[in-house]
Amino acid sequence: MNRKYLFYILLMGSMINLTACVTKGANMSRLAQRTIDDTHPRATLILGSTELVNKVLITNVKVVQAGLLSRAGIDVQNLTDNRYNLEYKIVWRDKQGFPIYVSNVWHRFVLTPRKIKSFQSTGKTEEAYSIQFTVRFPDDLYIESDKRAKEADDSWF
Amino acid sequence: MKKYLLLTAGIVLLAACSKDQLGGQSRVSILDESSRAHLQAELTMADYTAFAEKVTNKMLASKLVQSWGRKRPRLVVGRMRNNTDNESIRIQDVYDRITETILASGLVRLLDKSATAFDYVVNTELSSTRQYGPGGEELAYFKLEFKMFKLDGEMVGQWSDVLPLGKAKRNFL
Repeated sequence: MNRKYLFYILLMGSMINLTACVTKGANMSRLAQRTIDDTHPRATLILGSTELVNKVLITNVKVVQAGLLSRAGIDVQNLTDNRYNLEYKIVWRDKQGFPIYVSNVWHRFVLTPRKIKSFQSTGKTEEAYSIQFTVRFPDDLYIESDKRAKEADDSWF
Repeated sequence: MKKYLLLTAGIVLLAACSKDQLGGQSRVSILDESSRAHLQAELTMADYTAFAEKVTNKMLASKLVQSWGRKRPRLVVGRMRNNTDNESIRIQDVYDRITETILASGLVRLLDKSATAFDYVVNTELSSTRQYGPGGEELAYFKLEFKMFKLDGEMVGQWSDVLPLGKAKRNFL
């Protein structure tokens, strides 16, 4: 009987422990990670993969006023001798942190060895204040399905 | 009877071996709206958006547009010329993307193409070049160009963006 109680107590304890491990993000702007750089007051820089950390660097961020609109300049530096095929996206946000709803898409680019590539963007409304700049390996449905097909082929043999 | 059973089992097995996982059974999937997937070396709706985003970036960052401040001049975006080798490009969609972005900026008063009194007019043109390789490779360049004129015909600005699309060699296996 005592053993049974002990088992239940242990089970409940482990459940409470598990609940405590869940990260709650409702009141955070983001969770600090190696792939996120938020040291600039008006820019959040995101590397879309841990594979890119210390290989590709987002640098020289400038957000300035250009007339009524804000203008951002960003450099992306290849720290290696590899050639990277990547894509980037810029999302503008207002002072409260809400995204500005002007449609934008991913833009592909190639980083040859040691190259520094510059990008510019203009906030498309007066409210645009800060940017979220993301660089990642190209990703779309067909790239993903090709990858899965290749993995299936490899597991076949 | 056994023959039919074996045939059905064979078909079922073959179907199970299929590796095409796009969207599961229906083979249709909803994509991310900002994704730049291409099946052909032709423009997609996401490319129209990318063009509008990048060329208006250049236009809005120019000294001329910055000098407008809160004056909000009257602007006409002229009919877009399709100078590509593809007659079926939905030019109105490209045009709409551009006007949507310019209008959202709040920097100008956008007038209809039929307006006769305005401060500036932007003429837009989409053009392309294309090359083919012996193995089915294809290289297509699309260019969107803005040219801004005053009412008296003086050109005051020109901005463009290029989108290259490459198609790899055909694979027969």
